[in-house]
Amino acid sequence: MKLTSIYFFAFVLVVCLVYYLIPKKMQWIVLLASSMVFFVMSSGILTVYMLATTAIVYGGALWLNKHRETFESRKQELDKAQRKEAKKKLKKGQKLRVAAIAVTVLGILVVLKYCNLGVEIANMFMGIFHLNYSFEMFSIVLPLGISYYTLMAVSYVTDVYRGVIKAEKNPLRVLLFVSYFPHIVEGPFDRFKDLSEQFSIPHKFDYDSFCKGCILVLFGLFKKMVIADRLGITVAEIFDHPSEHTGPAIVIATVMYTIQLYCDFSGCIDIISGVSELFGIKVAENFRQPFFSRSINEFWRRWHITLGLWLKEYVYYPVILSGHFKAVDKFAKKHLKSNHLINVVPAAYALFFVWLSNGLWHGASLKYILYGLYYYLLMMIGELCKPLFEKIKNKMHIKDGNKPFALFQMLRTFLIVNIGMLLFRSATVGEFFRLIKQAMSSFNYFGGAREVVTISIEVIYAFVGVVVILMIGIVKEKNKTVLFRDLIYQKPFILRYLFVLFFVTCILTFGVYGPGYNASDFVYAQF
Amino acid sequence: MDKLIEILNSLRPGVDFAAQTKIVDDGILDSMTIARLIGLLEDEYDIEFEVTDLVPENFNSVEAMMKMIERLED
Repeated sequence: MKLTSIYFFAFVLVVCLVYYLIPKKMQWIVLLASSMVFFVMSSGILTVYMLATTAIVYGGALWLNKHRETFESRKQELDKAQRKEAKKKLKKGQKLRVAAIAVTVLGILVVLKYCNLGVEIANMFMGIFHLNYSFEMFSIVLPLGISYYTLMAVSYVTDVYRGVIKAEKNPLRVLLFVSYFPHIVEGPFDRFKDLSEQFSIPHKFDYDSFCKGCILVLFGLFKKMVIADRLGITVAEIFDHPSEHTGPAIVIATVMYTIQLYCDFSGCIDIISGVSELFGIKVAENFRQPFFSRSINEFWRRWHITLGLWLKEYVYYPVILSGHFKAVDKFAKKHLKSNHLINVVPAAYALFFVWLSNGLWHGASLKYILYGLYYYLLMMIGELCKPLFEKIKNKMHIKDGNKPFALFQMLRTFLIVNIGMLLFRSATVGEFFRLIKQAMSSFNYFGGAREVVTISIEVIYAFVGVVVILMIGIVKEKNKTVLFRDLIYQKPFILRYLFVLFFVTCILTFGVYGPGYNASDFVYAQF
Repeated sequence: MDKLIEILNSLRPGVDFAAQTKIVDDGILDSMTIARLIGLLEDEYDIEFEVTDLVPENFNSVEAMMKMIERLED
């Protein structure tokens, strides 16, 4: 069931009706039942993988709880020294248990999603050693949102281990958190502590919240159907037959792909968040105008925010508190003379795991690993050269608040992101380098633009849509504390409905849909 | 407290940490610097951090850091 299809909205409407008509105590059961229906309709028998993951983290969390309770009940009988020893033992036992649960859950993901990466690496080595044999790729169908629900399940059990939340006794409530249909397709990565209470409290129908949710859905549909899908037609034509196009057309298509991906992904998140708000449930924020970022670090704090937070909480922090990180830290202190290097090297070590995980999360292929490491490398170069950049800035009397300099930084970040997106879009690493070479072959961008427009003149609608999104982005940047839909909702009745009418008209007139159109999947749904 | 400010200045020279109340929120310390700071604090105060200690509220001011250190020393 595609999120832009009429069936999806009919489904949401029915769920909404039942949700607000039944006794409020049972609202969460409606969400659970609808999530199950949605999951089974999308994944069929593969739903068992999601159920297995839920069962493991549910049982695992109770196991952790029981282990801790046993210690607590015996604590009083022990003297101080014995208590210290027992506490140490408890800590070790808890760590082993949570590691076993996480490895089991992640193991399912690895086997299903990453076995072909193993085949790809094995075949690469076969080629390197000139062995005349190649392994065949496995043909595996993945259940809906496997990476999303697996990582959310891991976050649940890890939070129980850390004492951030208590283990949930009702397995159905854990199942609802893992399978909640709005966030299962493309995230965001919610945390149990943020959603469980919202699922538990009664939700009275609130007309204003309902309308604001609808505005968000509309905004998401505009991004997806008017911009992303419209750009997608031209982008696909150019990248599917790159040899038939000029270098400048490749460059323009790369920028278009970056915008397509942004509108596709953030549009989906807007639809998801809007639908969730119809039930009175707020999911986590996933985008904050990423193209206004002045550095790569900032970009990743604004793009797919919840993935960054997940990696920080469950990869970066455990690494920086680990024994091996401390060993690297000590090594740097002992062997490096520069204070700057002593600070950078240990952090670089920890961040390597974060960016490797980021790359791996995006897909089971070497190009995705390279995609993660591309950002890692750029960040590390930036960190290593920080003193040099500071010196240059001081010499040129450039201050941080300088607006032309800020614009330069934004454009530089946009360029870096576009190169990353080209790698992301390329079928293989080899093709990425071929496309880079081709892009540098000519600089006749006027001809390139004409070439792009010739493929589909209707791409112009998408460009107008981009201007609208850009203007809204500027308003959002200036009003960081107020949500855009609240800003719209504060306007007088006429203005508010003109705004809605504008978006509805644009979607109906310029959106990609109708007979013969097969609603394209959301790009991030494949993860 | 002076020792703590000395450590912080070794990571970010020239910052008046005593006057700051949004050290993390304002980006004076980022997650890379915090990684290094933790190592320095663990060595200096003989404490051990948990992941749950790594929240901005514990690092936003020198007072908050001191309070956390005292809690971890107990």
